[in-house]
Amino acid sequence: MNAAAAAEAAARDSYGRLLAWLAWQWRDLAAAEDALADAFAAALERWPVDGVPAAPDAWLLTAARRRLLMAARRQRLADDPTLTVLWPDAHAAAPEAAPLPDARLRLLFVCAHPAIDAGLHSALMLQAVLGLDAARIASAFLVKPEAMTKRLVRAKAKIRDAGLRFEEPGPDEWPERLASVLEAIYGAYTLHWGLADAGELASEARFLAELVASQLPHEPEALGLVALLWLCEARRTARSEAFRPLHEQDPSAWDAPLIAQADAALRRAAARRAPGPFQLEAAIQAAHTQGRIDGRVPWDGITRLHERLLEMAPTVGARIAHAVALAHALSDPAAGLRLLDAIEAARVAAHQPWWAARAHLLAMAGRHADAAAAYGRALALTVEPRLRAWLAQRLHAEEIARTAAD
Amino acid sequence: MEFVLTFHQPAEVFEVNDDPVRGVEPMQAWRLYMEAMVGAGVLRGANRLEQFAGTAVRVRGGKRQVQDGPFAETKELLGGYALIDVASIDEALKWAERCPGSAVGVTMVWPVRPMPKPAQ
Repeated sequence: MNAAAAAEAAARDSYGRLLAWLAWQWRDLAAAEDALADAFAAALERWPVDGVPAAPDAWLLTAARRRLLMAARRQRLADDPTLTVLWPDAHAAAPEAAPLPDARLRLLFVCAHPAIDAGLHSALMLQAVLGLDAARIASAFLVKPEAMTKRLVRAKAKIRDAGLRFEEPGPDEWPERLASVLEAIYGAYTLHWGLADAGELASEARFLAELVASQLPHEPEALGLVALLWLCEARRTARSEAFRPLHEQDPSAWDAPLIAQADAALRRAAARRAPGPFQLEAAIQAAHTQGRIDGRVPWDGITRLHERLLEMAPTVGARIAHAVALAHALSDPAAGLRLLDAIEAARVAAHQPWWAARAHLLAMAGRHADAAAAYGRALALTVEPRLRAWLAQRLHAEEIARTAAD
Repeated sequence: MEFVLTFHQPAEVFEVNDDPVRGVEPMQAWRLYMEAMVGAGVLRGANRLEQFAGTAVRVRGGKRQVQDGPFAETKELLGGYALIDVASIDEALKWAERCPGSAVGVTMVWPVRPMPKPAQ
């Protein structure tokens, strides 16, 4: 890692830590963000003159807390002048030198709270814990920056006004609450799939998954999610390279240590004997990865994993992947096509992966004209240039095969 | 919610698209795009426009002023439109992003303001 990347990583780490701690103490995410932004601005002004303080985090924290205190005093004064003197300085008694208690997990639980619109969980996390600005987040979600800003402001007001607790949830709500945190992180990760500057967002989401797994090392699903993202990252080809589906990739280009790390996490998760969607998803990816390295993909086992996954989370994506796996396991594309056709048409009419999977199975069945048409539809639904190039190539190959068959 | 997508592209793009050889690929992309909108059940109507033959009409001080296109001040010509019916502006923006014209020109997304039906 070079110096710039190291500095950026440090800033990312401290921003989330400081904000989480301030938000936890003040129970007001928006106010904490404003105060921290002021503190960073003050640091930019002062540090070049006074020199960088010995404990930069403590400096930033003190500055941010002073802002919060001043704002609170003003507010109290406006509400009730007699209270001003009584406003305690208890908030000031933060650990100056001692390491800051890491409140980021609490913040993640607040961001993915059931009272907050599920569609905003990922966006809130990216902003609150990693400090991404609304414009970047908006472009990832393909919405207007002003619209995203408005939604985030509204969500933060709700956090404050509804008095959402900045605490880890109790045992009764724990599984459900953890699941929404993990889902939002995965959602943040999948955002990068359609983007040109994909690497940044992918590594931000990976950072969140690693944070949760390191704080909850005994949660099998937290381990499952981090293993899944590590496997995806290990195979993510360099951005300049052309898109290749898994079965066309060169395993020697993969990040072997990261794959080993994912396998180890998955084994630790499996030892707890509480399978969940992310563990199954990671196990499927691990089987594909190992299958490519060994030269033989275990389609039977992969199909069984998909069946278990469908029992837990019958999403459209899971149903598509299962259809493809079954077709390969039975060497029967028609069986896979029947499963694809069983998905309600309205849900997949504009869903690129469904059309690409359908095209793949039609080509496997030797129905080249239909395969070409399906690749054409997948192409029209895709904007990612590398994926477009690959689909266009497949479309072309099927058109040639069709002409040859005529 | 209804939206009108308007497809604006530089004059050179229309030349390429109308060329029997160079136009094959872009026109296939347009055809696939329109078919995808039909397939998704969002398309309510669409048309090509004669991008060089627009006429501007203004009334100033009670007098009609007519100006023939193409208009020098606009580099991008309006070559067509589509009326779509989707659940949200986000979905409309997604269709605009998928438009082949967005890669070479600009696709504008206009929310349709519902109007009372004119009396018979």
